[in-house]
Amino acid sequence: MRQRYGRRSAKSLLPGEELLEKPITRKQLVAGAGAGSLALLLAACGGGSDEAATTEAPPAETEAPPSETEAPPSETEAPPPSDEAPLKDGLAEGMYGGPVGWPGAERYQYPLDSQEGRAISTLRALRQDGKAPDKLIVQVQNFARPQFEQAFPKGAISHVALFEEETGIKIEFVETEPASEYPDNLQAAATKNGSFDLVTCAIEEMGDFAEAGLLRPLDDFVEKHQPQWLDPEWGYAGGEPFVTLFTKYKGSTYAVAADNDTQPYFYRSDLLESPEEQAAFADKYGRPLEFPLTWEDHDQVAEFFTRPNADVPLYGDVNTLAPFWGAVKWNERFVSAANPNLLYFNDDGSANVNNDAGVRAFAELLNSVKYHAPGSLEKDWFAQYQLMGSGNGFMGGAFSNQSKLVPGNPDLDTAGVGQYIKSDVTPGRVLDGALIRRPVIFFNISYGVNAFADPSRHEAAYLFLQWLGGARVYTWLTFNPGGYQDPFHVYTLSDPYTAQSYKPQPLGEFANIIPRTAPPITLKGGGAYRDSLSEELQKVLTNQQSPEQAAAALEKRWNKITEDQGVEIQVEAFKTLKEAYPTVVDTPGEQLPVTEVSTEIA
Amino acid sequence: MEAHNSQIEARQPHSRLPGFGGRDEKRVAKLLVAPGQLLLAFIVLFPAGVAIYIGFTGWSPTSGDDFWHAYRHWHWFDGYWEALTSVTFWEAMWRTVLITVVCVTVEAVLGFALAMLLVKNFRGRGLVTVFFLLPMMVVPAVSGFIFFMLYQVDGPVNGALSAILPGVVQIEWLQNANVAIWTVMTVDIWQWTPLMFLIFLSGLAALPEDQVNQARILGAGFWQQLRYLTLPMMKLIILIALIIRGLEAFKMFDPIYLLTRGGPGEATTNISIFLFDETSVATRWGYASSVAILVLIFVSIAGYWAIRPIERAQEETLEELAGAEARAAGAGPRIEEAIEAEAQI
Repeated sequence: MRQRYGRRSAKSLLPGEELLEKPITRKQLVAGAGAGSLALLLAACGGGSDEAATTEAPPAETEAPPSETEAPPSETEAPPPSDEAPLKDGLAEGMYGGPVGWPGAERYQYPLDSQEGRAISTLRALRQDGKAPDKLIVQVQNFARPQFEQAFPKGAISHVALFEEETGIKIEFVETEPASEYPDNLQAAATKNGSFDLVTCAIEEMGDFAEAGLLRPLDDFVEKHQPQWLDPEWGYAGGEPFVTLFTKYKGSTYAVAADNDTQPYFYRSDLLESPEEQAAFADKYGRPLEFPLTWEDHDQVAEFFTRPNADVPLYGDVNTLAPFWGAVKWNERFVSAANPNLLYFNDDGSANVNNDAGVRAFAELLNSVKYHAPGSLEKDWFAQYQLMGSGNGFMGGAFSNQSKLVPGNPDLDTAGVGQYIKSDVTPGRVLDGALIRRPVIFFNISYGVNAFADPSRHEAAYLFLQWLGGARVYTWLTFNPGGYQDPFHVYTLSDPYTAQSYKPQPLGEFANIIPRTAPPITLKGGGAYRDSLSEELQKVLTNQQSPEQAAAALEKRWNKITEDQGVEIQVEAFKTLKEAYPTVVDTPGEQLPVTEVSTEIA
Repeated sequence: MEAHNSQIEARQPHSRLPGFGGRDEKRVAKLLVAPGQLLLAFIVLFPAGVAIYIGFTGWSPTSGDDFWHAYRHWHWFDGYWEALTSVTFWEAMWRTVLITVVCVTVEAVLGFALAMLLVKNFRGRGLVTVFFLLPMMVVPAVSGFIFFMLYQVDGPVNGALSAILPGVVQIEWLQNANVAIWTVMTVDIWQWTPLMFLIFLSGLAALPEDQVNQARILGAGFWQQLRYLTLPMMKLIILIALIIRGLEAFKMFDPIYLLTRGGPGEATTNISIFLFDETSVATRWGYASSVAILVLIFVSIAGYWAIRPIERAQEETLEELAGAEARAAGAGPRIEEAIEAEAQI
């Protein structure tokens, strides 16, 4: 600390830094810590202003920083100095850093005692001590990169520019792409490639990369820097199960989420709400036309809206059934077959799929083919967006950015119906008087710290992730039109810019969908489990085998994979995966409230 | 000739190179090629050695061990046994053989037919030749994507068929398990028939014209010329072309991966896709190495049997040449005698 401030000239200071003329003595430090603690206590009791808590307390090395989570204070490391001045002009009162210079920017600014503020402040301190690199090398999916580098909205700078401005650390990207990311990272693990600091991975790959030693456990950093992932205001919308799903493997934190591929169920509201359609449906099925709550209802609605001979052919079900992309559709029907969830495995690690629920899920998907457009087995998520935009599709689960990308997009919204796309919670099953609905999540980008990179860079790499994954910074990232990283923070789901991008109704509904999300298999060998499911499903859909045969074959293959990966490892990892299952169940017939999110920029 | 060769052989051990300090010529030659040979050995032997080593283990990069510590997962021939008793492996092998045989046969027939058509000179021949060679120049990944689009159910192929056939044609080219494997073959045939065509065109152009003309004057028809003259003379070239394409078709990956990823189910999974899945999805690198070694053994045996006809053809050619030389040698004195007699007259 002494060297840090004593030896540097004013010229070499980072923006917002102040030069201390005299070194701080141990006595001053203890006194400062006491004053800081008192100020924080007052602030917590409402006896002090925010400003006092964030700007007046002197540096303290023995107390944990103020936290908005329940996480216990760390005794192992000093918190960042709490008397740091705002990093720039133009910030809202009490704010330490963040974007400035455009309407509403203050929503994405952060105080010092926030996950983003702590990350930036600590990084600046590390830089001053010479413990942080000049540059962090981030592996990034090619489709995600523009979101980091493209300045949005007008008047803003990009995320990487802001990070560099506030910390002096440059971000350099090394690109990968979905098809090659997994083999690239396997290779990196096999060769102990530490040439990049941050690893991008899908949540299903976390187990593989953690076991391969590529991902560094982050528990020490999490304890030390206290991200607010569980905070009711600044945390993940799905609460603890979602945090477990996105960040944990075998009880340890290995990744920080930077995406949310939970799938809302989109539908054409103009058709569902049309009085003519409602009357025709009621005539045919003897019940009112509503968004389906169960898979049985879903089949009726899909059948009703399947009109291949219409002037504009319409198909009731646009869920993608393509290899790889379609496998997850089995999950949502399978997991919703028990209250609160039907698990993929038994506690001894054996597969739990060769049963009535597994067979039924295969059979239902086979039956659904008749409500799909021709060629549905080859249509991936993008083709699904095209179907919806061309007015040929009625409903189906899709990535949440369908409502961001389709409406008004001349390449997708070719029939001009994008404006009518709304979303709801994926249908489910009624069991024991409860409605079990389990939307699914697929792929989902996360970032972890490369264990093979120079260990002296690990903390800085993690702090970049804590900053990026913070509610305020990530919200600003997610409404950027340059990429595909979707929202998952409580804060983002009521954000006006995000509502402009994702549209108010789907964004409001997303708050209902996220807490019900069924996890994919995030064990070691997650890709192998998924691909074997995909292959067995494809065989069913192309009539190469019956649903019963598929369930039996899947059980055999999953057991073999578990055996290959190591039963003990899988059993232990499954304990954590079980914690990622949702517990929220609904009452049949009860309408979930949907918050209409405002698009007004205050 | 033999005497000359024996002279050279006799001289070689004693040859010294003044520029290399009077060192033995053979030794210098060995030294000069040694770096190249070492590099080659490293490129070929090192990966092969690693594959053989890993093939005896159940190692995976996700095991947390480095590959040189794969011995911790040693299981001798379990991987080989698993492959040899695996239905999936044998189905993949069967599809690979089917794809190879069908594709190479069709490519050879079409390539030969095109070459026969274009071997004669005509106006615009160069342009037409280049046109036929174009598919070969397309990057396989690009051609894969092109055909993926073409073969969509609502794509141009079905569109074209709908235009000429009654009703709306909606053939599931890539989704029907019985059709998909033939669909992926068409991509390979489209792309690599030009190579066959090019090889055969070169071979046909090099055939001695006088023999063909003679046969024609003697009244041989097209099929007789083809059967008794052209094909026997082209035998060696055809065999080489078949082997080159056979080896390539055996390894086919791009079109299958891009069109079907081996599906639907496993309906188009050949051995390359099978190995890709085992390494890149299942991460069973030990098992994949066992399979790769097995495939190498199979291909080597097949290659040995495939090359034998070439060797026989070479031997026949050499025998023919030797016979021609002998005949020429026998004819020489008679010609000299005739010249002498003429001079006397």
